Amino acid sequence: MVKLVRDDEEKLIARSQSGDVNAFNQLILQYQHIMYGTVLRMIGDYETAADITQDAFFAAFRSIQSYRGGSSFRAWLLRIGSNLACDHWRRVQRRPAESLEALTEDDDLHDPGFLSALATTGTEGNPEESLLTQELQAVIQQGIEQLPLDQRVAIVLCDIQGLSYDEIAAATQSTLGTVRSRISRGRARLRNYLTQHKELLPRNYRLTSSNNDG
Amino acid sequence: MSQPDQHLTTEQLSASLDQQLAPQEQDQLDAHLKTCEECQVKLAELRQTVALLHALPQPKLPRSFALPVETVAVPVVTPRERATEAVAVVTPGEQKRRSETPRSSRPDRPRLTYIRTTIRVMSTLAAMVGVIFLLSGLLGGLHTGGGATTSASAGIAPSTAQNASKPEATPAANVPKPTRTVASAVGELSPIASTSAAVATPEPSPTTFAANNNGGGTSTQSQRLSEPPPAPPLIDLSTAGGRALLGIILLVLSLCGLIFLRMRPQRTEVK
Repeated sequence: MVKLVRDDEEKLIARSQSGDVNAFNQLILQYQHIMYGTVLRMIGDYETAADITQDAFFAAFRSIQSYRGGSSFRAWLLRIGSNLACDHWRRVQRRPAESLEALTEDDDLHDPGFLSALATTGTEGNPEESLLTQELQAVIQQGIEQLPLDQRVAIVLCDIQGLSYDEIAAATQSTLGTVRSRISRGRARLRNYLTQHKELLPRNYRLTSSNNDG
Repeated sequence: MSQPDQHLTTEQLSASLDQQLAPQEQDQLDAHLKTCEECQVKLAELRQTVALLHALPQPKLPRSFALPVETVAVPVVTPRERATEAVAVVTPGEQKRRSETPRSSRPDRPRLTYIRTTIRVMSTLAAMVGVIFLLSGLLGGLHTGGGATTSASAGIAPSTAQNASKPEATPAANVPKPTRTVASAVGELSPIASTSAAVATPEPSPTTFAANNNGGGTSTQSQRLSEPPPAPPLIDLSTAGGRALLGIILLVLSLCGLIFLRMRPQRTEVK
């Protein structure tokens, strides 16, 4: 994906603000991957995520007047997308599993070897073709969906989309301290979830990843 | 912050993964980690969790999310046909309006509601007028249907008017009396009839008394009333039949409008 030079982006934003759809569509081309990816990871349903992504871009174009330059445009867009995703989630009223509610966010003793086995499988190599099996991806996705919404947004933006703390603060309209705390609590919860659900994981991941899955 | 002998918090460890600690804080953390295996394990687990999240593949885009430009470049219609269709239906006008008035922040929704409200107002107005016409048509039908009785009492009015004001009423007495009943319903009068009506109406209550008193008078009046039939084509058209028809047409129009309103929301509210 070709990165837009910052000047170009500002020009495109200015043109969009004067009603130029073509200019805005160039911005969409730039950001639709991250928007869709964020929404999808937050709610876990492909079709709904696509609809919400489309809605988010429409909403963004409608309210582009309210974007003030200087801050990250990406964060501004993702704020709209993540807000819509949160709204949808609340509407659907899916509640976190009770098993997770019972978990404390702080540490218990768990099996460190298990997680290291998981982590080493996917980190190297092409991120487009993850080495994580579908099953493991599903487990992680499930874990993300178990997080409270504020932590979920922070985790998805930080650990999946790679936004900076500053951008996440802008996207969630919160302070850096809040962002830090949400990310930390989200990670701790997720770690506990993954250790709890290790029986769901394919056997070759609990051992080492030497025998391939194909 | 943390003393070398105190365990590190999850938040500190988490923040250190993202280089979010101040240099001094990071140094303390490193110092503690060297000696504390428990915190090392915690940090490793957090790092692995992050690595797992990071290893999740970027999903493939199901379609392009570019917005349709006017009528050109409508996005590729994929699985969610209904949604994109609705979007495509809404947007061309939306875009046009935007290019005209770029300053308005939310042009599409208000525009849709304008159209809807105007349609709603128009159809309700049409319905109201239609009902009025229909009712007046029916009433007109009653008037002509019960013409014998009503005109009998009404026909006397001129005769009492004759008593009250002889000069005007007497010369025109024969012509206006029958037409007056129709005149009250239609409002279309020959000049003579209107004068007689103007004479007659000021005293409506005396007419009923007169009807009771002048029994013999009524029969002669009703005889005169049998004269109107010569004029029916004009009268019939503007009374019962015509107005009822007009009323029905208007009602049908308003019904069409309401049905149209019912159809629109279904299409646009698809999420």
